Amino acid sequence: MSTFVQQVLNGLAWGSVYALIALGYTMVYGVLKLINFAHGEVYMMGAMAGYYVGRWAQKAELPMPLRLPVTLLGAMAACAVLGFLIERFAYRPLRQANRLSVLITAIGVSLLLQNGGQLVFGADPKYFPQVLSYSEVVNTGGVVLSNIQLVIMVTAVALMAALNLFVQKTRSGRAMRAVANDKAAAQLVGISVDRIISLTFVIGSVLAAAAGVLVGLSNPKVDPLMGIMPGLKAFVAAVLGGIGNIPGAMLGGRAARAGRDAGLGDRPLDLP
Amino acid sequence: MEAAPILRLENVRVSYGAVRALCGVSVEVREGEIVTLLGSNGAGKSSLLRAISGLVPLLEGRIVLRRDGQDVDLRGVPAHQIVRHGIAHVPEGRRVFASLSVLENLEMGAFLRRDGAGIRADLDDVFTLFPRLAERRSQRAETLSGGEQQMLAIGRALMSRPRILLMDEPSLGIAPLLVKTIFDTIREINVERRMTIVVVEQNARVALGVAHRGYVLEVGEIALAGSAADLAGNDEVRKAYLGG
Repeated sequence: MSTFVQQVLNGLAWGSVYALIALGYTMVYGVLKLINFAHGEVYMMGAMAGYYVGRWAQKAELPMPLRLPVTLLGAMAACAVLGFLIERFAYRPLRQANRLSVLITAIGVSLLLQNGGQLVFGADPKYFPQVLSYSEVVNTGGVVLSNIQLVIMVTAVALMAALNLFVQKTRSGRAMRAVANDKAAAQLVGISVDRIISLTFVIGSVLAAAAGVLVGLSNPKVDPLMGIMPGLKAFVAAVLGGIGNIPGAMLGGRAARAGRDAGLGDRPLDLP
Repeated sequence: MEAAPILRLENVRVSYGAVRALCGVSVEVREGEIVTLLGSNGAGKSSLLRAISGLVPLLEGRIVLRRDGQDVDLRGVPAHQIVRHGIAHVPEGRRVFASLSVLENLEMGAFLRRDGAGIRADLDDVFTLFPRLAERRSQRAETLSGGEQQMLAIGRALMSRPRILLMDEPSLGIAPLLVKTIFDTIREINVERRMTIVVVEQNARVALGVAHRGYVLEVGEIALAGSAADLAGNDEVRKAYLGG
């Protein structure tokens, strides 16, 4: 039983990460009806950016409590720019093209980032710097909850709450929902659809960056191909939650991972 | 005395790929009048409105808006900036934001406005005009009936405080009783707010009932133009659009 509880707990932590990635898929699908297959690579770039910012924070001897926030914010800012550039230069020129062309372009961007990443960062895995020292928050009856798991869950939930507030309450968030509903009608009320699409990519990429850093905390091995499997799984989670549906992606991510871990966690299978 | 035209289309040509939708159409709309565009399916009525709104590009011709004593050429103005020029478009098939609430849909209509008090006053206005929308303000738009969605689409357009209202087939797919309500409202908006209205309609009888003037389009060209009374009395119009 304790194994089961532990696996569900692990699953929830990992699931939070998948949910963060899945949100990017689902938001972009909502406004563009595009599966952005490069999204897993944005997550990878988030982890990479976190690696460099975290190392800088270590070298600059920033106090420990500041390192994680600085690393998170640095990676999120880097991926905001990356997301903007991907949309602007890869997808926007194809706005009138058929959907298959855009899909193939997404796969192209994904490959570009995987291989470009190996070229620039090297193919060897890097050890993610320690920006949070490990401790156990709970350790009873064979069930362990680490502070890292707690930070992952809390950060993910906070980001999702912020996203929800943004989408439901702000002018831009409402415009985003309007664009997802009907682009032509959105234009007719004065919404610049291109700006909203840009914004969607930026927000999705920021969430993926956070996921990259959070994974770096608990699984401190980052490399340019690390985005492939989580990208696929988060895509599955997004579909599971009903692609285009933001709360669905949040739940889908957790359900997918928690279910997998609860079912398979104690079997001798080493799935990533 | 005739009012000066507030909107002029001069020799407008529009195509969708190789399909020509408008082949050199000139239309004038004067301040404060209701102009109706009649014609059968595919005659180019909707394309004309879409051209004004910047949803389709012009191949040729000009669309000129008279604003503050000056001519503004709308050709090439992107669709999302047209509403800034005081033109609101109620698209064919309503196109309300399905997953947004009635209230949110109306607020989206005022997307570019920053005058909170004015927006609230206009919201009240729309709710007075369409009490049904007030009853359903927190419902998602997709749960409304066709007629209610049409009211919402009109209300959304009014929320931008337009000078010119473009309406595409407001009677399409709506219960006959509601068609009368909608057209009564069109007349009311025109008379009480002195709103200039361009309405595309297949239902020529109701459209000529409220309009001052009309144009009949046939395969992308103007076949007939005149006052609503003249058009309603015209033999060809009677035969083709009024059922004899």
